[in-house]
Amino acid sequence: MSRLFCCRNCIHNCGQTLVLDPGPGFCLQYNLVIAKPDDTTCKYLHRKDLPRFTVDEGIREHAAEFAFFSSMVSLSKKKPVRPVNYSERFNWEKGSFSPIVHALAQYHKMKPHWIMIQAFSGGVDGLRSITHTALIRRYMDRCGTWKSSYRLILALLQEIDVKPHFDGRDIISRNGDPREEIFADALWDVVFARLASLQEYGWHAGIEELTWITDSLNGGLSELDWEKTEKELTRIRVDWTDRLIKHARKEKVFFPPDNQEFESFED
Amino acid sequence: MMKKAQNRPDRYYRRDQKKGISPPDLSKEYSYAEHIVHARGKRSQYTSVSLDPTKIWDLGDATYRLKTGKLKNDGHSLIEHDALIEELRHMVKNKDKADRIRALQAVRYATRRREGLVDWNFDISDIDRKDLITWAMSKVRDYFSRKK
Repeated sequence: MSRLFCCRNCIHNCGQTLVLDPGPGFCLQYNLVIAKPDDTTCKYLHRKDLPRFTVDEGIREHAAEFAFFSSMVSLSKKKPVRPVNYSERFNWEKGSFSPIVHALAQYHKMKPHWIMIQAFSGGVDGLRSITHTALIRRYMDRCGTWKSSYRLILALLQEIDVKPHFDGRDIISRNGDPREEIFADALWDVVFARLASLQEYGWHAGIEELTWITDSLNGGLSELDWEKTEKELTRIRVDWTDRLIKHARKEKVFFPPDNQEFESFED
Repeated sequence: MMKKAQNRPDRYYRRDQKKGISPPDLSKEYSYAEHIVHARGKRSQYTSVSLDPTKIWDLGDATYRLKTGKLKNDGHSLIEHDALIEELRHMVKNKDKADRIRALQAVRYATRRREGLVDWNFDISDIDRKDLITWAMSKVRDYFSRKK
């Protein structure tokens, strides 16, 4: 059983990764609490760790394996998981309140959704950062177009070189794993998820160079060296902010003059 | 004593189901990175092992030890952890596009799990493709012993 296929590594469960947030998750696909995110999956899994088009064959195989379940499934037992609705009261009473899960549980009550997604931008908190990237990827995937997402991606791009911070409570440490290693892993989870967001946008928008943006990241990323990677990410932020605006202008979707600045968002 | 310990070959372990080792799919021809990140599916021609069973706790309920001597005597290959990481880093430097990004994540995952790979060298020329996985299941189990 590979945890790469569990809900922790799925964009529909926005606020977790394999090493981030030890508590229950929340699935936006089913609007349900994920009590055991390490051992839960479904046929709609969209991996967080890599751009979808680089693992598409594996995702399709996984979807076929779980095709005949109508909702969430135990990854190890291949049996349906009992649905659990979100209750703020229950979480306060049990001392298990999570602000990220609480926010995600309100997602489908808010329209338009992009307002909530934008509200997650601009922070340095690691859990909020991973949630932000997953929300954007999910939004793009569901809209199936880049046009309604270019402002979300521009916002994400502005923080691509911001180092996320983690609290000790955020990380999952097992078997005496050195905490420094887990903190480092959490950092790279966010970095790769942000890059995957840009790459999936590149794929939707048909911008080849952005789709393979990782080809332009030298040394730092392959050595997992934040100091070096940060400089390269800053270069990407400056360069691609300009290029994405030019691309949107060329496609006539950059703040069109018909007063549709906000209404142009769908979903 | 110290010298002897240093010369001892590394031990490799696998976490898997209690009922036995999951078989590889010997019909596949995936790259190391594709196998490690499961880019093209959960089963490839390789079998993952680890220098440290505590790093692969999530891969099954039972711990098995790889019979390294028998493996090599029978002509199979063990891609040791350091060699695997070196090869993945080579891929990162020399490949591009999907191969590169998959190799980047594979380096992280293989390092975290202290992973090595078994590359099987069975003669499968007489085995029907539809029977390969079942056939491989009985074969690969000879190369692992279950730890108490």
